[in-house]
Amino acid sequence: MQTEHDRRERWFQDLVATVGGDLLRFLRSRLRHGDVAQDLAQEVYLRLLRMDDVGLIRNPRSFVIHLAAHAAHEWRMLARNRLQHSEEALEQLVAEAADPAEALEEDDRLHELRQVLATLSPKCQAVLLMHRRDGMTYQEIADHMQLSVAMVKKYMAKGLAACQKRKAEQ
Amino acid sequence: MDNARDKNADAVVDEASEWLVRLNAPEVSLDERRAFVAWLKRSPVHLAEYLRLECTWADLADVDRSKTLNVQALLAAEDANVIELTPHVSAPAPSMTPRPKRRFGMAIAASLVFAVAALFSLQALFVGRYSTDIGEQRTIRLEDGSTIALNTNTAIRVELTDTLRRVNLVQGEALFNVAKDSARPFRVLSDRAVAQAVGTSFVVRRNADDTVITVIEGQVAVARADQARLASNTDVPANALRVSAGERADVVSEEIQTSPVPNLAAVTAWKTGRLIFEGQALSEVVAEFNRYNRVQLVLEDSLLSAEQLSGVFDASDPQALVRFLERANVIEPAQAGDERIILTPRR
Repeated sequence: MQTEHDRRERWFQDLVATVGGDLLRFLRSRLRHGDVAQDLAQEVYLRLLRMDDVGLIRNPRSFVIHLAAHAAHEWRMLARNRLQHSEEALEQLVAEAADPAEALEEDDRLHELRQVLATLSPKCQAVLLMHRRDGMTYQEIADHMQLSVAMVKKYMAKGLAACQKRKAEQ
Repeated sequence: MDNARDKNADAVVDEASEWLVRLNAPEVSLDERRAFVAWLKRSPVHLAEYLRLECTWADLADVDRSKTLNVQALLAAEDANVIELTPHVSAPAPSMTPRPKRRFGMAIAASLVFAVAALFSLQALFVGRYSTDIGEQRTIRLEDGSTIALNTNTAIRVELTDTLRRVNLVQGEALFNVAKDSARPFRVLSDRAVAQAVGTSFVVRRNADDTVITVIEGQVAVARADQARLASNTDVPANALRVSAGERADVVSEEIQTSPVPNLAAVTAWKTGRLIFEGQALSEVVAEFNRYNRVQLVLEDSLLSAEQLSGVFDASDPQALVRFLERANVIEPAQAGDERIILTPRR
């Protein structure tokens, strides 16, 4: 007999299959435009509340991102249906991630983040760079800096939070 | 009040940041995951901030692609200082007017309904999306006093920050009347072009293979989207071309061509629902009508396509053009279908 848990599990697998890699990219560009607050986050939150916790707890991070990507995907489908009469518009929509204007915005955003990063303490900068840019694990960073992993996490969280707050200030 | 809210907002960022860093570790215990889910479900503000952080986290991987920042040098610099966990640069000077941002802290302790409502005012930026359907036009007024008139089948996204006014022309055509604000340049982006002004009036039209910027008043800086590596959010692109009133710039993939516009009124005639043609090829005229109407005119004959035409038409009445062509003995009497009217040359 199919349990509620199995059903949820399959539903989630389907979800992951539906929203492919390009959709995550799509989601990233949506989120970065700051409109997440207005509509996407609210939608995702309501969906999150309807979820049972089993699948969610197994891998919460990927679950939430997929949930958000799925919501973004549905918006795109809605937009597609609205624009059905215009092939050109459809193509633009599908090609959205490759739009040079988007690339330009990404440049602006990265530039801004780089400036924000430069205002952090050197240690926070170094930790973030080693992990995000150079792909070092927490443990490797801890060994390199002769710190505990807990301290590395502390610098990392502090640095990330500071980036976010200053970005908001700008 | 604002201060207290900001404090709450900062606290959410701190928490979200700690969660992200913890969940990113190779091993995360069941209890931790459970606690995180509970935290997420506590408030949509938590979720929104967490998703935002995920994006910053993703961006951090790309922030220094060319690897110009030297980790060893950073660590050496740190050794010279006292160990500090707080960022060492003081916060930016407060602005003269309080900025309407992050007014959501109070919602954390409040009911769910309140919290969801608070989401709508959560962002630091004003972001808006506007669009028109085929045959539809609308004019929107922005908080800075600028107006944007959207022509048929057009979509834009508007972002206003303290330092920049930015419009992404996703498709179609729009007339921008930009209110003067030298501190916040007004920038319009399409797939091919970037146009920037401080206070002026211009039309941007995004076509499949080019973007045309026509300046009605003042001056606009125009650059190709792929060339405009913008040094900062506020500067005019260094390689930008200055386009003055009465000129148009055609931005194609390889180059920008400028040319004078003899009749500016024709460029904005759509604002009053008219289409003005002065010796344009019929193929162009038909394409123009088709932008405004669901009933599509179809031209299949190349000689007929090259036929030149002048006149003023009602954009929403393709039948009027058909009657005009019939009476001028250019085409055979046409059968009006529900979706298309086929134009065939007079034998």
